[in-house]
Amino acid sequence: MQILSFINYWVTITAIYSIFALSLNFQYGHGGLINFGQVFFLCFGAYTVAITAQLGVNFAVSIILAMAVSGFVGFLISYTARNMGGTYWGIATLAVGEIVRIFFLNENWAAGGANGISFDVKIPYFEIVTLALAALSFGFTRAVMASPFGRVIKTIREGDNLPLSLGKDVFSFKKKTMAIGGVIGGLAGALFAYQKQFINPEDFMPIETFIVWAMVVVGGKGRDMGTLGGAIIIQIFYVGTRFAKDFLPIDSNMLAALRMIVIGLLIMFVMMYRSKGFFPEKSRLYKVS
Amino acid sequence: MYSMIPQLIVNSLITSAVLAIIGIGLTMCFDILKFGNFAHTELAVLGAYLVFFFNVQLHWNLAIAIALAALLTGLFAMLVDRLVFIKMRGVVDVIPMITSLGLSIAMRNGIRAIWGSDIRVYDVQLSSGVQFLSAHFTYSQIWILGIVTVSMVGFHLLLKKTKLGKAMRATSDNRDLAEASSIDTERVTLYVWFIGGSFAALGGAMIGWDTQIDPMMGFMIVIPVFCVVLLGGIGNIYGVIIGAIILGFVQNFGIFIDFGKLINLGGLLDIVDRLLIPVDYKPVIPFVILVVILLFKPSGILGKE
Repeated sequence: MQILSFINYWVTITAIYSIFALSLNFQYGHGGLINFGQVFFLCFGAYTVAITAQLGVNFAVSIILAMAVSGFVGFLISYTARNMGGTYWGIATLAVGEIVRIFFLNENWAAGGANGISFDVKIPYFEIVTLALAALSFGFTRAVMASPFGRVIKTIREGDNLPLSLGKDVFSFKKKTMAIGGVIGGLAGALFAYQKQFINPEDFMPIETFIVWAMVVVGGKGRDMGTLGGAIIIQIFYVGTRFAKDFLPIDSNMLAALRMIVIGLLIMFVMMYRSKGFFPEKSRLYKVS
Repeated sequence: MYSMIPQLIVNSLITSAVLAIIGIGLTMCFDILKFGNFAHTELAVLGAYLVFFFNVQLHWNLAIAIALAALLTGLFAMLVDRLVFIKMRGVVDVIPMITSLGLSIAMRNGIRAIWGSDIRVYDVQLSSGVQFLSAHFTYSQIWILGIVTVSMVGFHLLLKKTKLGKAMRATSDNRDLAEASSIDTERVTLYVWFIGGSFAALGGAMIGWDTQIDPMMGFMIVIPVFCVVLLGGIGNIYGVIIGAIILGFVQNFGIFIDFGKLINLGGLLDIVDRLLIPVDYKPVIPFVILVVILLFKPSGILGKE
């Protein structure tokens, strides 16, 4: 029975993080936007759900609201990308993520401050709904990437000059990329809140961003299938070691530290020896007739 | 209110000294290797914990502990470069940056695994310190300011008066040209890592000497240190010092300034009541400054020399 509930937990958490990783892969892997503040999407999505659910809003409506809020946040934050390129923007987004978390930590009126916020609205058949939404997100990003829009953002990833020379408004595409990434990330945040039924600012530490980065780079940036693979690998390891303390004579603090050491080293080794990830992106050939 | 000003100046100077000495390594590395090293502040934490190891666990003299910790951290930084970052010369900056992110996670948790998550303090005698105007200096704070000043002056002399300094400046200016002039840029890079690592360790030790240390402190200072580096302009050593002074003062004075008075033009108007930045938001100040600089002046206030 314990095994079953463990598998159940693992499947849902992996599905949620897969959605979250797809959102980062959309921005970074496809769009080339180095977002080190990814956790703010999780944060806004989860808080939107928690606040609206407390007011008694229906779960479907609250999820849609969460996606809208988070997408809007992505759209707003993309305005900072106009003057900044690449890694500078990454450093700035890391700072923005922390500003958001400290805001929720200190503003008690907004959502309970450090004590967090709990609610008891539940999604019926949560596991199935989560899996379905993960599949839907996967299909959605695939569809977007197959569209002309997807091809333009892939060109932007390789540098601004070529799309500019083709008359594409690069900044407007970056805004849309961030907004779409935000909508998907908000969905992950909403499901995250529904799974826990309680959130507080501690859930949105920068380490969440780094874990989702590990999923994308280990899996292979720019390939959604690879991202799913990365999410599964990291989650097997992450959740698996959490239960290992029942079998191993190590205290939980030590175990948590060792687990993060392995994740850190994994990121390093992938970057050093397989910088395209374990499931590298396939380059597509377009036939010119 | 005004009687607090001397104390605020003292606190600001200490913050600035620590940020500057850690920032120097980051700015040099950023300049020569062209990537932002997220693991740089973890070197400071490593140094701080090595001091703790020698000073508290082995009961050695604090001065010896700090010197040895700086040396070992410098060597560790060189080793990291040899093992990891040497494979990434000349690739797109995002790859070494993500690698450094992985390294920082591994280092932070390695320290946590070895020394635990508890808050630690050094074995220093508490003393009454000295009173200057209405400000209070502890003896350790005087030492901190002294050590940082001496290190900075020493580094300045190294840059300007020695052959190695000249090679460093040439490499930072134009790596290819320096190589063409038969400067061994790889050797210069190693020295940069060593100096950056040991300066970071000094900074970490200063934090521990003045207050306390814990494994998470590297992450707490990474954004302030990046902020200082970007304020000064990447690669500008003197810019780091100025950036650190600006940030140190803004952070400490920022929460005491009544912005209500400013908005009311010093009493001419009566639009708002007292308007202070809440103390809880003190850590946010460098984050906001960082975002604003990156938005409007990514080359820093001073730019590169």
